[in-house]
Amino acid sequence: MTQPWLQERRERAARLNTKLPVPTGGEDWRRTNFGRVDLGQFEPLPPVKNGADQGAASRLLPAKIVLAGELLYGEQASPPTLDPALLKQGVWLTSLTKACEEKKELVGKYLGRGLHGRQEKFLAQNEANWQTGVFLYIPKNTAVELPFLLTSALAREDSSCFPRLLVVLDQGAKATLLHYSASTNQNKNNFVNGVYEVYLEEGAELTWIDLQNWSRQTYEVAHKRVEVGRNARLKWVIHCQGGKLAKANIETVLNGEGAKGEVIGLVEGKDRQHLELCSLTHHVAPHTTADILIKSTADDRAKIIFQGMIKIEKAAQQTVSYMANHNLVLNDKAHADSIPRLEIEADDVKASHGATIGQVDREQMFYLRSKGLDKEKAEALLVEGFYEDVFGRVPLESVREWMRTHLEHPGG
Amino acid sequence: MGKELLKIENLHIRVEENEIIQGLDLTVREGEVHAVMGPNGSGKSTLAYTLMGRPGYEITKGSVCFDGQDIREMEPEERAQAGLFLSFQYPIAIPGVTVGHFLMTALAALSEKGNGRYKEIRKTFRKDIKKYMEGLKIDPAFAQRYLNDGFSGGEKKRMEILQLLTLQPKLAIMDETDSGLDIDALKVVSQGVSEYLVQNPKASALVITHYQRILNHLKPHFVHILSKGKIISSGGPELAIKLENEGYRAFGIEDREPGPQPEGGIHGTT
Ligand SMILES: Nc1ncnc2c1ncn2[C@@H]1O[C@H](COP(=O)(O)OP(=O)(O)O)[C@@H](O)[C@H]1O
Ligand SMILES: [Mg+2]
Repeated sequence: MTQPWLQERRERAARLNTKLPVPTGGEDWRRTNFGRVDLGQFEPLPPVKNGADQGAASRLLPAKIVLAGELLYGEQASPPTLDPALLKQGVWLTSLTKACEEKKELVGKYLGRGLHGRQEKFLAQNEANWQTGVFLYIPKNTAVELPFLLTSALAREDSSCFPRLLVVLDQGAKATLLHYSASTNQNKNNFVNGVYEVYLEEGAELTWIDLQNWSRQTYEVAHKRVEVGRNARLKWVIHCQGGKLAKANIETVLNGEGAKGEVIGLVEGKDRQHLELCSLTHHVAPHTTADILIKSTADDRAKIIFQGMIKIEKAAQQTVSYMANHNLVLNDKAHADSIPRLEIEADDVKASHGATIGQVDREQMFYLRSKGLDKEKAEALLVEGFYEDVFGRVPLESVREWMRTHLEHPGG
Repeated sequence: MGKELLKIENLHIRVEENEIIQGLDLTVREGEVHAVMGPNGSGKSTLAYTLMGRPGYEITKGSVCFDGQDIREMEPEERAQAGLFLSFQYPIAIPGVTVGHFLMTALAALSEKGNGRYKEIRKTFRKDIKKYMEGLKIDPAFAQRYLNDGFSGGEKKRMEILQLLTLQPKLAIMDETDSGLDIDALKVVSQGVSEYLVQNPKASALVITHYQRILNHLKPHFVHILSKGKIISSGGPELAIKLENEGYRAFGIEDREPGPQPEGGIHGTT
């Protein structure tokens, strides 16, 4: 039943996957080492059960939001829920497998487009193994006010899971996407390798709220790439709090003249979590702008790593690019690292980066405690204050409130 | 005579290897206002911080009892919960935390410890805060601003008084609340402290100051002169008058600053 073009691609990827070793060195991989993880202990998920009912995706989300459509994918899949008016306008929200059959042209045009030719183990592994996946397509000049929700949930133990997402906003389309990844039990031991591709055509506008809440036993590698076309706009909110050893590679590719990207991220490390966020801002076209702000806290024995690269091609003149990364280390045994880099080929550009790693301020602590807050409450309030400028830029009120209350009552 | 609220005996305090307070005795009873006056560097803030339990301020000798409890080993928050309050000489900015949220969190923390009084305070919190802000001439928009972040010196001092009025402690330690204020601001701030004292007839205040002028508004029952970590003279309000007229020299103290500060203030900002 599988399309021959797809079949062939997946077989090629499978061969590459077998050939390539798990990367352990180089600037990209030496700080988060999957070479020491026995990936063989994880069973690939069995064929997807279609058992989940409509609405399963939003029931797992810890916030109440009115939606334009939703879909659960991963271990279990739900039939998509989609506003019939949108269906009529040509909006697609389906599993990627179904889209490969019914929207062959469109999927063929975009799937893997920005990742071709990369000899990367985990990309190949995902390409060979993804199961249902999700496809979201918004046609030309269609503005969808309410957000779409895609939930990827994992309940089984000792499994490997390969989420795949393809989102295309055609010219002038507008949408908000809420993506939620979660383990349904905090103690599940799993491996997740997800590839998430987003394409914004000319003048399209996407707000992507990307919430990662895997269990603290989960190993994760993620590749997330957004291609921002001419005069298109991206606003990307990333909240990363799950995982035992997790590395997310995020790429903002400003591909068309006048493209704009804004990335706001929050990474919370606790216990013995090791979380790495690798951000690439790639300016390909002239007059593009990017603004990246990532804030992290490292508590207990957690280790947080940020690698940020701003890359400006020779053609990308009159580009403006900012990147800031601020870390708050809450425990003597916790660590944070920040490695910003610039690679600039063009001469008429503005690019800057800033990074800080600090601890809780003793004076602030004493001030708050002297007014009656115990150590824990004072620290929680300072952490909340630290993240406030990130929260302030989260567009959906209920998500913002959930992020705030989550900080106040962690683990909830 | 009221009950003893704060009793300090033969207190010695060490900060970074230096003995800053060297044998200090002080008793404050319920309903009393005490002024502690001293030149810069005499140890006023050291005393205030130590009473509040600031880390690094070590009591090497002597005793401190508050409301019948030995507080020497208590954490700062336990002292606040017991009813101590410090208005900071230099209030600390907490970016990202609004004034309103901070006050609510502080009230919640205090009431959690089972003190029924705070349950009552919380009931009318919003209304009261509005009223207090009005009295202190604080723009209502400040409730949504980040605590002390970018506030002027005068705004910070008013914020401390807003906290005092909201949290309703048993003993208010006011560390140089008057410094850096012009005449009008001083009046507003003093009225705030008076309001707190009127609302709580058993409450007391320890007004720490370099200058006499705040004492025109907050009539102290007792005045103590602090020099080099010791109280060298104690008496009634007349001590403050003498200090104003004759300066610290009259007490045999070298003061690096010019004599009594003229009304209106040389540091006048709001
Ligand atoms: N953290 C500190 N470390 C070392 N010395 C200090 C510290 N704080 C205060 N001192 C010293 O203690 C003395 C008293 O200071 P302080 O209590 O601030 O006086 P005041 O408030 O009366 O101006 C001064 O000599 C000052 O230099
Ligand atoms: Mg002082």
